[in-house]
Amino acid sequence: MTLVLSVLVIIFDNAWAFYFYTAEGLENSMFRTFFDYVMMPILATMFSLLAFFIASAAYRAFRARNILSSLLLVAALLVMMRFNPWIPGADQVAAASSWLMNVPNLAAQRAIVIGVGLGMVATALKVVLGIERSYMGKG
Amino acid sequence: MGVFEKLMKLDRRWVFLFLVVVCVVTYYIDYDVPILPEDESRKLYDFIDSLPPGDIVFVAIDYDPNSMAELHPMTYAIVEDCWRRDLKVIITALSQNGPGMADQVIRDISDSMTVDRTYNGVEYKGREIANGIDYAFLGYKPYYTLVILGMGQDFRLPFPTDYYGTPIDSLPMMQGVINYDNIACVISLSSGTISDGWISYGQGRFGFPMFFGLTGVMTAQYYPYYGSGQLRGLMGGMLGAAQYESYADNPGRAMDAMKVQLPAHLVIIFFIIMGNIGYFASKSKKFEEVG
Repeated sequence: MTLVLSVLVIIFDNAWAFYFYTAEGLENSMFRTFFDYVMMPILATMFSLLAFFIASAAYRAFRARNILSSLLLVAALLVMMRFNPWIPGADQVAAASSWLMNVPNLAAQRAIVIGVGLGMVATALKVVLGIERSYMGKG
Repeated sequence: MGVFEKLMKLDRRWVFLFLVVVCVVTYYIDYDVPILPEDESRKLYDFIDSLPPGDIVFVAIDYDPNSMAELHPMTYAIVEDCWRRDLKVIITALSQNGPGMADQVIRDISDSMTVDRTYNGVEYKGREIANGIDYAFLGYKPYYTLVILGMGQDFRLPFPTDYYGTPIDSLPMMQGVINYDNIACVISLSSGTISDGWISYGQGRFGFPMFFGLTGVMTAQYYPYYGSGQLRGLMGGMLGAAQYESYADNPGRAMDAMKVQLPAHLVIIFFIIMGNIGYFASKSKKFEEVG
């Protein structure tokens, strides 16, 4: 059943996209009604379920078990509380959160981007020089 | 089973129920949430504020309905702000369901633009919004990297006609508008990897002023580009949209939704703290029993 539904979704999703190439789709009142009152609420609802799973997962997983997880917990709480005007010291929390985003987060993300870039260059060189091992294990 | 053991094994459905109750109740209670400003979103507003009437802003609607809660309010706030200032807007949708979102934005804001409004002490007369004069909706094309690169040469390469089938050359606002050199900035509202395409193939290649509106979970990933100056400004999630509405003095969907989001965050924080209290209490109890 799931397989059949998946195939149907794939087929009709492509057909849906095809309708969006021109205004033909949106000028059709039935198509537009389906999009506005069926497609949009369904997709928005799917995404909104995330809030409940995040709440449940945060409750179970965010435990201060050791120093690293405690650091993660404090950072997560600061970022969640940022720009919350009701908590005491809201300006200081916002400043601390901005620092977290602009300094440690930026450094870590930049390191990841540079690492990915270097990895891509290394892989490309291996392919170009013919020393990349193929998926069947032959050179 | 003690209180702390019960707390540790609390059924997740109670968490769901508590969150639903908080969201529904706070949505129906009438109150205002003060929005604290942030540099990242302020820079976008200041840039739009600095543009003279007649300039062209490029708005890329690169999201589907699943992220509309966060990104749709941004689009509404930005497009209405542009039109109130007599700026022209080029709209594209590089996401599959984007044209439907763009079409809804154009219809809704065109309606609200007919009413006189006062924002930040400036009175804006209501007026009719016309296709080809106030905006050009170029539509959707697949393979966003090729589309972004193509528009760097000429908008007419990927989009010879607008979404409604009118040749771009016959739109009054597109006269003499060839490529990114002729627009003031690009604002991409995105919930996926299309933002990477705009950075690598758009801003990196052609060097135009670039701004992003992103979902909350994506925002942290794009700070390196904000730090390097490739991104001039950044709006993150519902908060970013609410901040823009607050700067523009145009309370809308995002400021309304912040009434729900902030208490929901407090609920999550409450559960995290309760979970940790339960964890430490049960741990110390076990330690006492053993030792």
